[in-house]
Amino acid sequence: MTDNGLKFLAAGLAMLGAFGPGIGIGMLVNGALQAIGRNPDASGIIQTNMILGIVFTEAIAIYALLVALIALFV
Amino acid sequence: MSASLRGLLVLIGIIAVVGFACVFLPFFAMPQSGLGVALPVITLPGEAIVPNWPVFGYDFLNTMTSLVLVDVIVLIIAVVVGRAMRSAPPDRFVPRGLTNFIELLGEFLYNQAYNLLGARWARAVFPLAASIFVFILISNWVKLVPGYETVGLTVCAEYNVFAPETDKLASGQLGYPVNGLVDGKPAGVMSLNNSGGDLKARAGVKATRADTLKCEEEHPWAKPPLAQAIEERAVAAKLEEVKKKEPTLSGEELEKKKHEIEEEYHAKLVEKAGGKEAVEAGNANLFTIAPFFRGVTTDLNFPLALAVIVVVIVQVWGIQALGLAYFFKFINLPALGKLGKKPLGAIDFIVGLIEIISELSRLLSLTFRLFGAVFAGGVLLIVFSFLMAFIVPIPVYFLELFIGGIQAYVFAMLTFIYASQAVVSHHDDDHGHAEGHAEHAH
Repeated sequence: MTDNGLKFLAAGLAMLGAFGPGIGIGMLVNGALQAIGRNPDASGIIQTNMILGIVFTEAIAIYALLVALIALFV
Repeated sequence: MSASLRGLLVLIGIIAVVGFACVFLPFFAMPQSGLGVALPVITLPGEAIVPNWPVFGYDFLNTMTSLVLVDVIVLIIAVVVGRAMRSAPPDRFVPRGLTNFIELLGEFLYNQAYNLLGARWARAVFPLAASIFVFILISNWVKLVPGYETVGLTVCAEYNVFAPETDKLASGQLGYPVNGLVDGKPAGVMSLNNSGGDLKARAGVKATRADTLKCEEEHPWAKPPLAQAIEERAVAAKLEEVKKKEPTLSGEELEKKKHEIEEEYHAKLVEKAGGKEAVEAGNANLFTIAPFFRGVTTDLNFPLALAVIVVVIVQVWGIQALGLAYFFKFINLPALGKLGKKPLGAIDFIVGLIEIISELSRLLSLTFRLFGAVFAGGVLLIVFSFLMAFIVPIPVYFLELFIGGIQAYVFAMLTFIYASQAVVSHHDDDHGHAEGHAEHAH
């Protein structure tokens, strides 16, 4: 295996870090939708907080992505 | 004339415009004049546009041109909105258009600040957070204008100067034969075809040191600004040494010495590339684009600077609100003092120490969240654009608009949250402050 091949492999492995955030975002939206279903009037606040939570969760996936990008392009 | 006939004319018009903009301009007109549009090359640091910029002695990067542009846009918006607001007395003022949009944003943000911080601290924190919000929002959105990160100088594909010496091939920059010539033959659109032909003439070949040197030799106008800057700095440093050793040299002799040093430098580069023959055999037609503009937030330095500002000023607000007692959050002296009565206070002390780490990790998380989201968005756009050039990237553009806005909002929101954590004292009953009790009463 060449150095270049190892780089691609490393980038792919780094993206395993997207597993957790994926599950997390799913759970977040699940909770938010259930809350909206029970109390549709509060959907505005729930949506804002949901998006905020999604962004924090997504940040972890972004860290993994950054590691992958650095492995590929630096 | 029926509607369908008019539709046909419009369709023909669209095809003509797309053909002109996507085929004629990038592959024929612009390469002839030294400008290029090509497959973008993804690099983490910003590309240099002007080497050894005279004002600060650093290279002027394309993220800096874009920083100036965004500054100008923000200033124009501020002036326009400010004028509009002063055009009528406040009680009879009806915001319209841009002013209305800015008011909407401001109101939305201020409500968030008010809910988290209360009236007094919202007034202090809101200006900073709102400026950061507007700046990030505009820099993220202006980056999506077509041509923003793709139109630029045509430069030789550069060997990665940061790569280790032993690494002969792996870290070269991808180069594309965009100058209409592949090994002396006209290439045009076909140069992007990946099938058959000489391996070196294929699109997306990694430049070796030899390729870069050959390219710079044959096309002096395409010398990468970064390589030029590094060479200029190295030569200037050597020349200083010579001047110190022999201060009596005249101007003419100095010129001669400088020339010698330059040649020495070049010889060293050739030697690194594997000798004269290797350079001769190199491919002179590997080019990349150094775009004139690149999203400000895709330069790691910018989000880092913002994060440093926020984290430092949050400490200042904390001290303003609580006095020196603010530092008890980190080094919990009261808990340590009452260790005799409450031995479990040791845990509070250790938690305080961990708080220092969490304060520092805010720097990292603020920086990398913004940088990562925007940079990855750019890469995503590139990937989708080259999977399918038309129509398909449009939803991705909308996604990027959304993400740009969300990231700006999150940065502002986190500023509020950090500030609210800093200005409110601990709710411990042991060492209650006036503010702490006031918060309890709410």
